Amino acid sequence: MNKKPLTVSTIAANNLRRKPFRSISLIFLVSIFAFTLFGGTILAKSLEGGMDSLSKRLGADILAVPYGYEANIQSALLRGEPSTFYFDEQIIGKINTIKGIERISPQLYIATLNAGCCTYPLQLIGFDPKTDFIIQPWLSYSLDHPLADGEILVGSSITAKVGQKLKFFDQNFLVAAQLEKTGMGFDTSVFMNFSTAKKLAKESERMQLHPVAENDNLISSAMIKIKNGYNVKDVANNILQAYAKEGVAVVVSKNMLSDISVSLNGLSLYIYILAGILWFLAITVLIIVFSVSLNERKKEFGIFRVLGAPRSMLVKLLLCESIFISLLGTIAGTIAASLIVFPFSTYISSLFGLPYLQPSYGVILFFGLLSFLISLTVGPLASISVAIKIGNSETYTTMRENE
Amino acid sequence: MLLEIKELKKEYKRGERLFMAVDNINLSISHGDFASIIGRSGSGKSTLLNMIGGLLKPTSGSISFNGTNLHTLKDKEISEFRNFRLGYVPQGTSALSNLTVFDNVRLPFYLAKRQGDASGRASFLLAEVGLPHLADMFPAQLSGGELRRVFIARALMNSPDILIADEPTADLDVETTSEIMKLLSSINKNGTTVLIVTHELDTLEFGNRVLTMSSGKLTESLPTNIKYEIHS
Repeated sequence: MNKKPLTVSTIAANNLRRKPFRSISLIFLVSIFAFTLFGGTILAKSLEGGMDSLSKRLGADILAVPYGYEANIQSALLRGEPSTFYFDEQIIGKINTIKGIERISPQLYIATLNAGCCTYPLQLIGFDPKTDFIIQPWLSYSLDHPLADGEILVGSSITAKVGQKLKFFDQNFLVAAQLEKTGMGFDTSVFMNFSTAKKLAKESERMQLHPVAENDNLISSAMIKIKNGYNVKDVANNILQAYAKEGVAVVVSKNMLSDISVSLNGLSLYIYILAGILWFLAITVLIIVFSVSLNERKKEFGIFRVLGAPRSMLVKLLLCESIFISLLGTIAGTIAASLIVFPFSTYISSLFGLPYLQPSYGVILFFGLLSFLISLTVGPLASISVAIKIGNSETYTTMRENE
Repeated sequence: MLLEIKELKKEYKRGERLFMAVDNINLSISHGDFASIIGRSGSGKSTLLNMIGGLLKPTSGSISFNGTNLHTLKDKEISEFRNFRLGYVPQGTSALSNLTVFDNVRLPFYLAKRQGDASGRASFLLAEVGLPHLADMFPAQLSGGELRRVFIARALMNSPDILIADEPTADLDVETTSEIMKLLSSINKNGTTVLIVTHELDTLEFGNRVLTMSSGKLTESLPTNIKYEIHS
């Protein structure tokens, strides 16, 4: 015999427990909404974070690439997608003669491969540590020595510790440092100096021909920073005018970022619209279910009134039931979203092909609580009209209506 | 006087027509009475009982309980009255199907937000009505007669001044009817005023007053004369 005191919440819990199919269906409905709201918000915020990180810390105002590969450099930067395009390294010296250029640094995309360390393809990138202003600012701490031959820097998503050795094309490389989370393709990339990169290209020839193995003077891109006081577009135009004939194309970072920004805003809008539709749907379905069950339960409410329950108690009972449904649905949805969004963030970012940087724990907690509160409103909002209807009905009529 | 009813009327609208369910009734019930209201279906018995129970508002007239006019009370006050002063056994099945028998009986105690041993009182009442072994069952598992006993136990949970029962023996066999009536009689002998509505003339012998309702009007008869009056 259960001798625990009967309260509104224990009665509400009993009512839900004794109607498991109905309760689980309603909880599932709320959980879908909570899943979309929380998961979608974290997704949108991560994309915004990636975008923000990219615009603040990309470092280069202009990217010079071989003509026809403008889109490829974006894919390589944003998603770490395979990029093997090359032009002669002499172009660096030539572009450097253009007025307004403060710094210029070459990069060399060697290969994309699947390695034992990771479940996703890695991009191997060569860079010049002496002139670099793109990669090294992302290091979580400064190296105490210039990056030596055989040493590598790894992106934040790569599961390797400093001092560990990673093997590519049957060669061992020492992890010298790890980059911070960038939200870009850098997170799944491995960086090395030019001489190591070229050696690796030659090793890769065992599997397939590699242009870099044949020609030592190739690079993939040139990252360019403009001096203060110079207009980026003017400098980009000057580069094009001077070297377009030599197969040089340019990508202006700001334009690239604004393109991404447009598609990102569209995506965020879709997520919020979807969450809004689901919120409305969840409330509507719950209103219908509560209204239908109200007719079934008129006699039950009448009995409560006969036994001396004031109208306010019936309202509390209904609200309590709906809050339980919302609460359980919200918890289930939030946990489900967390189990997908957090462990699979790398996969999700590659799926979207946009910069993706998960917000800090504080921000996640804030949006988690916000989504939680919004999801929690579903039940009470849906049941309030039914609760008022019950509160206003006459007991005797209520009981007789169902006979 | 425990209950005083003066010039009580209840009108219903049936389509365009007005129907007088209770027509100018005057009645007094004293402490310790066991009154039975009899009459044909539709004579207004249940309507009268529900107005006495504060479940239905009269069109005019007054019902005073210990000097308080029930229908001037606010919702919270009338709920307290139903909870503390009145034990009500509604017509038919009035169990809360999601609660066990034990919780059904205990419920009025918690609705009143009282302090004390609700479980002890509920166990005592279940033993009184002869159902201590069914405490953990759900109402759907009980027979009609067992359910009526549960409702009576529940109605007595807060030790009310008056127990009102609307056809407490309807649909029960003769033996169970007799058991229920004996139970009500013993409750009455222990000091609780009892007012029932019934169709069964055999139950009248358990009370000390018989009230006959016909077309919304109430008349009082002597229990010994009632069978003759009904049949004639």
